Amino acid sequence: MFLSVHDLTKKYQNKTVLHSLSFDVQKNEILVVLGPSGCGKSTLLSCLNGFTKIDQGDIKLDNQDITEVLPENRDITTVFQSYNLFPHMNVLKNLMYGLKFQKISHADARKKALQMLKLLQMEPYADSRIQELSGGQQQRIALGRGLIVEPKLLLLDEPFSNLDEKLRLKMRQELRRLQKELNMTMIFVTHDQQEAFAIGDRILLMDKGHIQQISSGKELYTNPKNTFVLKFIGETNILSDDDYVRPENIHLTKSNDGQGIVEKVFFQGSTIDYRIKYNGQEFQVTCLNNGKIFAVGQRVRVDYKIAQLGEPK
Amino acid sequence: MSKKHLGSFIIDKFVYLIITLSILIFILYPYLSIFVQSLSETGQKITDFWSENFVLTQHSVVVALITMVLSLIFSVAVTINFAFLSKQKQKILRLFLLVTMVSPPFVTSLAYITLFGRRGMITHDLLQLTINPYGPQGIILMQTLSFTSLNALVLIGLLKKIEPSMINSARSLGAKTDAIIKDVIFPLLRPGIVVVTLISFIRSLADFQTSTIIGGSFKMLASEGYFAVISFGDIHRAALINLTLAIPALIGFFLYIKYDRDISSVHHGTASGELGIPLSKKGFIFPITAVLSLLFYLALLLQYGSIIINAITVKNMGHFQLSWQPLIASKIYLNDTIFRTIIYSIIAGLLGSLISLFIIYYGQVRNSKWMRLIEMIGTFPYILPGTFFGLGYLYAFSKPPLAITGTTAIVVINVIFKQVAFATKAAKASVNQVHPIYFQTVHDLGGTVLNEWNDVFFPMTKQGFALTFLNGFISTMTTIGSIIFLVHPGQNLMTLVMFDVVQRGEYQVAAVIACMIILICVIMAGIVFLLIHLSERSKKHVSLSPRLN
Ligand SMILES: Nc1ncnc2c1ncn2[C@@H]1O[C@H](COP(=O)(O)OP(=O)(O)OP(=O)(O)O)[C@@H](O)[C@H]1O
Ligand SMILES: [Mg+2]
Repeated sequence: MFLSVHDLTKKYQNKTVLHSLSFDVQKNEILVVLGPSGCGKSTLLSCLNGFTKIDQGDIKLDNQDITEVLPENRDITTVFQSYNLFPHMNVLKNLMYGLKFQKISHADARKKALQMLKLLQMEPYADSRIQELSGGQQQRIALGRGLIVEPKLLLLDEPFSNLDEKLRLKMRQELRRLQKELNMTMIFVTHDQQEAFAIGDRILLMDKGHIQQISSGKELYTNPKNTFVLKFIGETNILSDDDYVRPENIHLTKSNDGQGIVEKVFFQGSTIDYRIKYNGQEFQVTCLNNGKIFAVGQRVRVDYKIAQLGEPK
Repeated sequence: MSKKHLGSFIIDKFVYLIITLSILIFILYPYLSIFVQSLSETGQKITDFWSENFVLTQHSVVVALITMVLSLIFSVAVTINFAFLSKQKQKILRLFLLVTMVSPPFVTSLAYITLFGRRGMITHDLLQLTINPYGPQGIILMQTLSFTSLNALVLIGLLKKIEPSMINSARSLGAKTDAIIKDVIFPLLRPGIVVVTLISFIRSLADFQTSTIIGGSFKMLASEGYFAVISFGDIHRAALINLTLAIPALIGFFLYIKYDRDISSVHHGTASGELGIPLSKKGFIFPITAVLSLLFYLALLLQYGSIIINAITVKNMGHFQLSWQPLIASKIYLNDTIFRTIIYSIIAGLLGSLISLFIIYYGQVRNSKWMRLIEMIGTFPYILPGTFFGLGYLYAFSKPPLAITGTTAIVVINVIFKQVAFATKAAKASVNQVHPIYFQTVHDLGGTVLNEWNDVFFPMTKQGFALTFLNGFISTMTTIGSIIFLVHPGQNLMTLVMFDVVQRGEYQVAAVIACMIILICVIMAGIVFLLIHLSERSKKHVSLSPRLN
């Protein structure tokens, strides 16, 4: 395994923030760490890059135990959420900063930085001051500053959370593109599931410092291991302890002697959400908008196949 | 307009007028008076003064330059050294540095004499030497010692504002300790370094106490200006000297305004509450800063140690014995001075803060350009020598229409308006935290300007007000330059008495007064922080986050 984390535990005073986490990351993989606010995502990154001392466990990177290695000596680079570009250096100097500590001539470093600038599609900004860049541009430079040193592992803590929706979508694609081009291994933290699906090869879903599930996005959605995963990812109708059905897996047919009654209609554009009363329970249903919209009060026949937690479909 | 609104309208305009007039009369007018009158009245011309007293200027500038460089080196070393220390150690050392803030400015000179003077504890008692400690070397050392604390406090404040993740970013890119200091910390401190360097230079030029006390026969501009008034009653000569001192100060002032803006923009992005872990003690820079800091802290320790020993002991056959003697001896010098000093300081703190808050209210909230100009005028006393301000008062208020020299009022007014400079800066910080929406809301709901003050402005800047008050209180307790020519015998303040007894050689009495001043300031700080703490507990602020802009 490229990165392997074993039994990692972190306590603040008496409060355990990370409970004996064990997981691996493969080379050239993007692992997304997903979870609600305060679940310990940033703490996990901070343990990996060495800025936080861990209480227990060990971390191996490329067959080398780095548990006790100082941050500046770990071949891991972090892109922090707040950009943290150096305000007193221009764009190019920022990009080149990490190369200062590698055996590489100034001319080569400059060349590399210019290449990176091209990759980031920010060539005209080489000599700009950081203050002149927009948030998204700063974000890209921060990303480039981390990428350029070609660390064995790049950590990103909610790097796109300060961007607007459109830019966020673009940056996701760009990150994937750069990762492919440079063959990087990354751990990417987010609390946004759309982002996790879009970026991650695999997703590590965490809650209260425990790993809930590690798998591909598809697995996470179609085969949640427990109720937390089920409820956290997407919408769901829970039928009993283990039985559930996703809203899009319920089929409605117009029928005057049907058992279901349409209670509410939410028009979404390409889809339509309904609230249906059926068997004394309320169901959330999502249908494609194929021109036929049920009215409130309409009786419908309700068909679905029950899914079960932890069982492959 | 309804009656309610009319009333509020009138009060609003009235306050605006009062603020404007008071700043113009009590800050701008004295400065103009001294400029215009001292240059036009009969007596020596300023150019003649310069050519005849070139040596004075030379002495002053040389001392100021050396002091500036030394205090810069030490304060940067102390600040950088902080980055290697744990939070706890930082806290303790910072408190130690803060003692300087609540000490009278010439307490260092007092300590110097008691340690190294003719009968000094170190030179005489310990080493059995009889050397002459008076002269420029003493002035430079003592100024360096006291400026270093003040500079370091400013720089440490900036250091704390550097986001830990900024430093962590550099580390994660592979930067080792020395590189982090060189590439990140130092450049981010640079605007602050420029400002404190400038202030050290100006302060050194204007400092008349140190050279009066330990300068010996070494003559300098500031002390000559002091002697001109006190010994010869030659106000004209004093004015020429102070005008000379004001020139570099004025140049500095404009540089200061420029760089001060840079200081406030050092802080970028969102603050991450993370604790930055101290830098690892590797590389070349750490040992250098450690040695310099240690030297400095030792000197500071020696200074306060000697003051305390002098205040609470008597020497008996070569041994120090705990005694009330110094305290009792100080009684005849103090009388009602303690009470008067505290009252003046409270008044200066309260009114100074109130005026400053109003200036910032009109300047920032109401966006009045004129009031921002007033604010700038208000900052003059911060950078110009204190004695210059005091002399300005002598020139402006010794004849009609405002003949108030010799009264209690002139002293109180002087200390109030001297606060405005610093208080407006503090007030600005606290007003900027109140979102403009709050003010609009009051009007939206039909409130008047008075409601705005009552329900939003004052309640929401309460904490800022308390801190500004404390600052005004402390600086009045420890001020001397601007009032030394204004106070009449029998109306003395503690610093003036202390200055007086130092010159008479009553060092133990001086030490007692120094300790009293420090103690009073510390107690007042305790009260203010307790009040802030209590009011914070009783009502948690609802914050409007994220800030709408
Ligand atoms: N220095 C600290 N001291 C004590 N507790 C801390 C400290 N840092 C973090 N915690 C606690 O650890 C837990 C995890 O925090 P962390 O910042 O890792 O969460 P997160 O998943 O990154 O949240 P977010 O999505 O809001 O960024 C939180 O409950 C937090 O209060
Ligand atoms: Mg976080």
